[in-house]
Amino acid sequence: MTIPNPEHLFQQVERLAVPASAGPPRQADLRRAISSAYYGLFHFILTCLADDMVGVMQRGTGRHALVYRSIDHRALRDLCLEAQKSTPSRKFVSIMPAAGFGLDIQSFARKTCELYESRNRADYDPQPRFVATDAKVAIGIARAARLQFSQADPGLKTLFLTLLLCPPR
Amino acid sequence: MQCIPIDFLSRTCYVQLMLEMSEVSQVVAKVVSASPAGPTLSRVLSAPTLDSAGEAALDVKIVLRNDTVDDVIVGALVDNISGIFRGLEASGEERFPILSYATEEELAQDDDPES
Repeated sequence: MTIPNPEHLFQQVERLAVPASAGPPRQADLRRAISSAYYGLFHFILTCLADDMVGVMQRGTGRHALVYRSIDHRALRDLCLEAQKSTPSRKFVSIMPAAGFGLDIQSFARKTCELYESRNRADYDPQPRFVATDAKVAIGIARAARLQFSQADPGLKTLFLTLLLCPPR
Repeated sequence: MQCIPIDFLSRTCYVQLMLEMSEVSQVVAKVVSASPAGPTLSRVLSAPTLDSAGEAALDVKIVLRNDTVDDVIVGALVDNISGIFRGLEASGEERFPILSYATEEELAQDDDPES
């Protein structure tokens, strides 16, 4: 089992955002770059989830992989939208702390939603024209989001990951 | 901000609507201008759009002057994201801002649409 290294995906973004010869980078490369920035962050959070729920020492086991593969993009986006709210939705009220997820996770959530929307456009929408600056900022967003989640309160991180795996009904 | 009067049980109430696009651009420009990226800001372009779920959203492009977009500027633009969300929220705007970035030079480029 190989867990994608987010930093390697971010480095891929940097390579793709640089034109190979004269002229601007190709749209195909820029779209792949923005997508990879999002995927770096997505794999980061999946690793956090499986490590937290199953254990770092269990990496490579079927149980770790099962949890890793249990999350889809929409679930992450929905929780990130919820995490930004100062007042939680009704179904989250009994679980969320009164003060919300705190600045680090809120900021992580905003950035994740931004990258989610950008990646969606980059992968599926033929209309937008992307430029190298889009890709440079996308890596910045992904790295900053990873840092903010990493430095968040451990209890709030576990709560976020629990809600990601088990959204309230 | 646009407010419209409505008659509700013979009392005039005002319903707050979404921001005009020029107001969205002003809010975003104010946040970016107050940051280390401020001197590089050229203009902000805003348009209504739909997000990936089909909900009303905002397409906001932050256009920078043709200076090199270095790590400091990128860092400042990344740091601005929360401020942009808060600024729009404080103005009563609930649509999700989908942000994109370009320099004036990049905007002027006319590359192969199939590349």
